[in-house]
Amino acid sequence: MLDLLLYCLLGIALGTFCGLLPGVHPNNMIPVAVGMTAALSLDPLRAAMLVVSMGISNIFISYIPSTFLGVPDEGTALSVLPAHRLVREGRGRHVIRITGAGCLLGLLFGLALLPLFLLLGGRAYDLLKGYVAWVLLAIAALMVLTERSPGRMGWAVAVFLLSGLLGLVSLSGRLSSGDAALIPLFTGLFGLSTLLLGLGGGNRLPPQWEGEEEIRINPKVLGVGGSIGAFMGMLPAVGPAQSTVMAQLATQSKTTEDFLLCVSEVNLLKVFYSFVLLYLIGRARTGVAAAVQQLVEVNPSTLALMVGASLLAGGIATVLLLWLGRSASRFIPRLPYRLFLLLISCWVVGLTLWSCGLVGLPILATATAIGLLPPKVGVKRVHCMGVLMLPVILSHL
Amino acid sequence: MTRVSPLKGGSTQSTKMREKTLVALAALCSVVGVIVLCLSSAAVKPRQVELSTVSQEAGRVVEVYGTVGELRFSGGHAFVKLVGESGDWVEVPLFSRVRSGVGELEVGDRMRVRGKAGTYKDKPQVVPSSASDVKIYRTHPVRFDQLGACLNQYVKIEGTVKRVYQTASQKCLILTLENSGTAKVFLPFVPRVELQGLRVRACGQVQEYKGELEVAVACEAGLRIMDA
Repeated sequence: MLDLLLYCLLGIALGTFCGLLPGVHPNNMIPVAVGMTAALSLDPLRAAMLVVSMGISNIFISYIPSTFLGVPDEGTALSVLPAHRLVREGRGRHVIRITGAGCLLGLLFGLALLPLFLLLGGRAYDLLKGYVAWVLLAIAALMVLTERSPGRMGWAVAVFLLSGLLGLVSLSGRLSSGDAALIPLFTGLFGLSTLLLGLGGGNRLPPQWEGEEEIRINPKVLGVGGSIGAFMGMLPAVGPAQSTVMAQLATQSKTTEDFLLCVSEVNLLKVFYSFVLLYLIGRARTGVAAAVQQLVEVNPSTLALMVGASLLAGGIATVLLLWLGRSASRFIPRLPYRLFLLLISCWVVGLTLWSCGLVGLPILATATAIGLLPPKVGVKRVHCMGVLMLPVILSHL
Repeated sequence: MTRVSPLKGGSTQSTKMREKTLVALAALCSVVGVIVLCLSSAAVKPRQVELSTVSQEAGRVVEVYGTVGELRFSGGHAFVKLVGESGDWVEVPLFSRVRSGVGELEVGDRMRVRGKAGTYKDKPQVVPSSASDVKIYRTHPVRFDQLGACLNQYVKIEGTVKRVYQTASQKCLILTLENSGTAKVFLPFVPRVELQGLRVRACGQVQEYKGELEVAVACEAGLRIMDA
C-alpha cells in the first residue's frame, strides 16, 4: 500500500515537472517512464499508478505555461487566448485559481457522475460508434455556425479544412512515426502562433495582482460542461475544445470566467474518464490511458485504484498549481518578456526537432501559419481542431 | 482583501469560492484518494497464470499454483521447484524472512504463490515478497496400492525401510519400504545415516522403471526420517 502511495507521489512530481515545461505533453514523457519501469522490472500495477498520477497532475500544472507564456497543448489550447488576455490585465493568479478550481471540481464532478456513467456509458458508446463520422461532422458544423457572419463562417470552414489537411498529411505516419507530429502541430496551431502575436505586445508583462479575487463557480456550466465532457470523451478526436464550445452553446454562458472554468474541467475529465472508458469499452482515448492499457488489465479493482490515484494527484496538484502559479506570477513579469518569448519559441522549435526531426520544421511552420489565421480574420481558434477531426472523420466514413 | 471579479458579462447564477476553500477541498480530495487507494489495493488480485507462461509475464505480479517437486535449502533460504500438471515448472525462492513465516513444507505439497514473475539464469521464477503471498495445501501420504493411479504425480509414502540397494554407480540408493505392502523408492543420493529399519517418509514423483512402480525422490528434502 505504502509503495503505491510512493509511486503516486513520484508520478505527481513527474507530472509537475512535465507540466512546467512549455509544450511538453505527458504523452512525450510517459513512454520514457514506462520504458524505465520495464527496464527496472517494476510491478506494472505500480507503474500504472505512476502514469495515472503523472497524467492527472500534468493537466493541472500545464495551465501555468499556457497562462503566462501562451504555450498550450491539446487540452489547454482554447484557454490560451482568454487566459493570456487576463494576464495582460495583471490577473494571472486569478486565471490559475479558476483553472485549478475547474480541474478539481471537474474531478469531483466526474467522481459523482461515475456510477451513472458506468451504467450508461457502454450503451451510449454502442449507439454512437456506428455514427462517429457523422457526429464529428455535426460538431464541426456546429462550431462553424457559432461564427456570427457568413464571411466568418467561410473563414472558419477554411481554417478547419486547412488544419485537417495538415493533420492528414502529418499524422499519416509517412512523415514521422506515430503521434510524434502532434508536438509541432499543436505547438504551431496554438502555441507558436500565440507567441508570435505576443511578441508584438509590450516588452514586459504587467505586474500581477497579488490580492485575492473570489472564484465564481457557475454550477450550470460545471454540470453541463462536465456531462458533455464525460460523454464526448468517448469519441475519438473530440477534445476539450469541442466539448467546451458545445457546453457554452448549451448553457449560453459568455463570461471568460465560466469559459476558463469549463475548459479546465472538461480537459481534466477527458483524462480522468479515459481510464473509465478503458474499463467500459476497452479503448484508449488519451495517451495516458494507452500507456495504462499496456501495463495492466483494467478491471473494477484496478479502476478503483486509478480513481484513488487520480483523486490523490488532483488534490495535491491543485495546491501545487496555486503555489507554483503564485511564484510564476511574481517571477515572469520581472523578465524581459519579448526575449523570454523568443527563448520559449526556440525551445518549442528544439522540442519539435527532438520529437520529429527535421521533418517537424515544415509541419511547425505550416501549423503556425494556419494558427495565425483565426485571430487575424476574427474567428475562433477551435476550428484548428480540424487537425484531428478531419482525419478521424475520413477514416470513419 | 476581496475584490469582486469584473469579468466580461458577469455570471448571475454563480457561487463564490475563495482560495482557502479550494485548498481545503483539495486536501479533502487527497484524503479521499488515499482512502480509496487503501481500500481498493486490498481488493486487487493478481492474474492467475499457467506455469508455462510465467517467463512471458516478467515484471508483473502473478499467481501460480502447482506441486512442490523439489526443495533445496541454502543459507536460511528455501528454493522450491513448483511443478504443474503438464510438467512445466517455475522456481519459487522463499527468502529467509518469507520462509520463516511459511511454516513446514514438504515435497508433494500443493502450493499457491503470488509474486513477481521473472527469470533468473534463464529459469522462470515467481518471487513472493511476504509469507502471506504463499499458501500451502498439505497432502497426506498415499497407500502403496494407490501408487498405480498416481503415475507421474508427486506423492508422499511412508513405511519402514526393509532393504537398501546401492546402484552400480554407488551414487544412488533403492529402498524397499514396507507398510501393508511394499514399495520401491529411488534416491539419487546416498544419505549420511544408515536407513535400514528406520521409518521414513519419501516424497517424489511416481514413475515406472523396468515394469515396476517406484517413487523417485529428487532431492534430500524429499526423504524424512520419521523415527527419532
